[in-house]
Amino acid sequence: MSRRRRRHARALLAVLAVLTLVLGGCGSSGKALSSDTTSTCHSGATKLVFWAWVPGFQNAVDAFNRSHKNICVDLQNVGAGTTEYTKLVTAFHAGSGAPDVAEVEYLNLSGFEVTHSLANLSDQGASNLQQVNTPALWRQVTQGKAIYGLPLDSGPVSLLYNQKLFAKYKLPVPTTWAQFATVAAQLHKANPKIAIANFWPEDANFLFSMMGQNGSVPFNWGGGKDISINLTCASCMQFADYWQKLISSGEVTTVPDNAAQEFGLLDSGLVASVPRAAWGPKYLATAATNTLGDWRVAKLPQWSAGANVTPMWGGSSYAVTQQSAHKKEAAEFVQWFTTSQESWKIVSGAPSFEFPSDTTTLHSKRFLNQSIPLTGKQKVEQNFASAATTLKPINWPPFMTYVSNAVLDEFAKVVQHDETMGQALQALQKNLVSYATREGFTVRQ
Amino acid sequence: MSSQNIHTTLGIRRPTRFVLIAAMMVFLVIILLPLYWIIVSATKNQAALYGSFGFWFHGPFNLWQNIHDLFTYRSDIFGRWLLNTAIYSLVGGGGATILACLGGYAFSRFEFRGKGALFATVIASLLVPTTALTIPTYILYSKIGLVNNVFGMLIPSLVSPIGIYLMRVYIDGSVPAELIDASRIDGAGERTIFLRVAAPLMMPGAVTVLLFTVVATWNNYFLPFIIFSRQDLYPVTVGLSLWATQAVAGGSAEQLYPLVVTGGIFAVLPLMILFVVLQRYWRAGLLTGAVK
Amino acid sequence: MTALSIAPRRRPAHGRATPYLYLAPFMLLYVVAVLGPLVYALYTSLFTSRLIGGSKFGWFTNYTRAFSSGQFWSGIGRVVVFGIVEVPIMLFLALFFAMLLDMGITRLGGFFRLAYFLPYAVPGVVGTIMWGFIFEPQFGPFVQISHWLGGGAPAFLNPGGILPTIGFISIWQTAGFNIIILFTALRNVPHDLTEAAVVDGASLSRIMMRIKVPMVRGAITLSGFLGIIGTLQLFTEPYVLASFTSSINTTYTPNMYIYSSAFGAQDFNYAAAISFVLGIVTVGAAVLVLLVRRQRRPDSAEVGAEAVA
Repeated sequence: MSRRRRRHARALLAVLAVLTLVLGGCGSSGKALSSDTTSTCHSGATKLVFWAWVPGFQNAVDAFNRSHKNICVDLQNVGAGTTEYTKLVTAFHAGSGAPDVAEVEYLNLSGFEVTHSLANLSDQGASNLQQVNTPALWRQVTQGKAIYGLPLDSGPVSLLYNQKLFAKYKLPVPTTWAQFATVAAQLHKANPKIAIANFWPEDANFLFSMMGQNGSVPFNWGGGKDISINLTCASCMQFADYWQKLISSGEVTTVPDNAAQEFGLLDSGLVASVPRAAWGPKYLATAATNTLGDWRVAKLPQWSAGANVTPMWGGSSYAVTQQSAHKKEAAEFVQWFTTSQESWKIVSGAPSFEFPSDTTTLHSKRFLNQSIPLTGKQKVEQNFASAATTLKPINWPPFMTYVSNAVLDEFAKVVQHDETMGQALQALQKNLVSYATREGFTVRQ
Repeated sequence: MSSQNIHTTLGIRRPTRFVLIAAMMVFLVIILLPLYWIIVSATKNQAALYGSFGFWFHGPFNLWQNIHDLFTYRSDIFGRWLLNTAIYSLVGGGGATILACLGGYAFSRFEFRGKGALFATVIASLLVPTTALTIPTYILYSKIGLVNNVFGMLIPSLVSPIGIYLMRVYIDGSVPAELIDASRIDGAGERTIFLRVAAPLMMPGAVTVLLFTVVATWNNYFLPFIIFSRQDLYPVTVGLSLWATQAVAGGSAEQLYPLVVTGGIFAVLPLMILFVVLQRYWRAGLLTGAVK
Repeated sequence: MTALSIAPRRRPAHGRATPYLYLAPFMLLYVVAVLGPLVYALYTSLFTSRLIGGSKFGWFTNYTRAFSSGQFWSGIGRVVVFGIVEVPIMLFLALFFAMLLDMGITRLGGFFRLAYFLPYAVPGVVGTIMWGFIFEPQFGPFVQISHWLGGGAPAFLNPGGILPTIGFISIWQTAGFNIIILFTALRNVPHDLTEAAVVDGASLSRIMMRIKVPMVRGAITLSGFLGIIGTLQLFTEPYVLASFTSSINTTYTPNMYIYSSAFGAQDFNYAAAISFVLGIVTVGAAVLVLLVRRQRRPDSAEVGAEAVA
């Protein structure tokens, strides 16, 4: 009996051994295959892991690694936007696994600030960088004296319009939203199949930035437990009613922005214009064939004649995580990456096309005189650069992933004509106040 | 085989047969439609993907260019993802099958204390959605160094509760208890019984479980997405959806759609070849036990 | 339980440790990969956490919140309606085609079998993206065909059409798997049974319905059981389609609610609690189905399901 059992146990051990061998073999083959993305590094350098998703960053990272003997940056693309944040949130929650440096869009920065997941860069002497940065962007990354990230690109919004369509229907380029509505009606009358614009209210960043242009302050948070949420103010409702009229009359379409559907409408001449951030034309350029060269950029219409307010849409900052064991080196890299001319030469060009926060680059001839086939010979960067001087960014609440989901869900009803813009804002107000209260904030409305 | 002959000799009336074959054809068209779409789409450039009729070709013929781009974009990373996926699936699926054979055999052919409770625990894990387990899994893994480690991917892939279940049912039906008992009476050791008597009879079921576990690992997305942040460890599902999010939402002024579409074909092709190879084993039966 | 009746009742002839040794490798990994995280999740679900104020032990606060959450139950309602329609259709189609394949009405049976199984090889995410493009309301091929025929855009992704569309995609994805399960079961019905009927002069359809189908009840139960679990945990199809349409919100199914609670609202403790509530609901559904099936004689394919119940 005992002998049999021993033999039996040996059989199982044999199976386990085979399994371990197979696994071990795989493990070592996994190591043998490890990548050489950091081949530009000097030996003995401090290793930094850097998460970002913008194409072309590897070139800048390589340049940094070559010129910095003591630091070796390993760029990892773990996904764009929300995909990366999902991983960041997981790593922060687990207490390990976060990179040293991460790309975080401005609107999501405070969400990581409130959980104490980001390092304060003023401890690393970043305060003196204020002067090289656009002031509006600086406000996006700071809380009092604390600096939670350094700004790279920005997204001043202008009006991208199809010049051929405007000429064909003899439409003037509107300078106020009132004029814009008139032009919309005029176009709708001439050809009901063509919409003046695509307006997708489900995009929280776009929605609140456009509301901010009308003087609304949807959120105000100063880093503590107090927060104000106000989506139902008079200017908020004016904004809501304005766009609701255009949606109800079918004069604007409401498909997801910067995506295949919208590109299809724009490129087939069914939508004549879109409010678009500085990075927008390059995105559309990847999908346009019929309308290449037909597009022009003009200043975004204003709520009152003579006003000069530019909403900001998109853009990313670069933050050092609290988990990083090398905050000093990480801060050195981020500083080089976001402010050095060596870096800007790379990231402001193809394929990264970062619209500069750095004022030197922003005002350089090389940058301002660029043109892309989509917009013909127009030097569009000049328009965006002048818009960048009147940026009015939003003060984002520290729970934007929740807000973004809530906006998606609530404004889907607007897109489906089940609810008006005004009703959606009111419902959203209620939802966010109850969420913020449950999360322990003292909410002012 | 003989049952097939009986049927064909029985015959069905011609009109009925025609209708039934027509039904099979309609279902076939539906099944193959997206596969046809992806093949057509892989020949297009980005603009034609948006701007042309999805079910027909549209010049310029871009397939070779797309394949070239796919395997050279971001320093040839795509080939690496395919290789990773193959390694994870073969080791994970193969190991899971071995474990399911051992475990299923124990559940099916032995009586022991706690058997009911253990089996219930194994099956019950199918009932709780894995979404919520990601964070605990991640936390646990980060404590024992399995984050960004191939074993973090392999260990969960080795555990297949449904494989245990299928093997138990299969062994119930196709490995007679009398045979095991007789072997024991003849004085054969447990190892001999398992390897010489039971294992050969388990083979057809094991092949099917192997197929399921390989597919499950091949198509696994959420686990590798959470535990890997090094691109050189990604399987193809995570890598492709990385490019897809970049092509769709907020990522890029690059033309990534053709890469995602062409990559989709390469992500699916190896499994289809595996199906063709393993096809003949299905006939031998998965759920013999179920019909007892 | 048949498994018990097959196994010898007398004192086992093997060592006591033997079965445990067979089970050890699996159970060890099972504890690391499944049970450990599961228990840990159960533990964390008892804590409540806030952005301001941190986390504290709260007993069943998260559970009462989940049980009283309108979003959760409307998601449950949606997948229950979905499952009541989708699972029977899927089972019917799978059984129908498995029977046709088993009857051998075409010589190309092997080809059809393989083709039907192909979608199972397509990762859920990839499959749904492909259908998303095909159903896309602006430039998708069906819309273009409809325009050529002078029609409007088909409502595949509209609020009214989205649930059937998800059902369609999910049937596309899983029918092949179930066809194979049912086909192999039909194949393994002992020949002597059908031969006797053939000698009696029974027609083919009669043999199918009266002899073969009742013999594979176990396999049908297994398919149905997996279908119910898949339905209640529905995630990939609606999650991916949400990027094509406004008709799907972030709490559309219970599993999407879990996902958005965890990663959107960053409330992992609550998300864990909802997962267990969903697990409880799934057990409830499984018990319900088995109670209905129990009216007839259970067979060994139900062993696992019963073990849970």
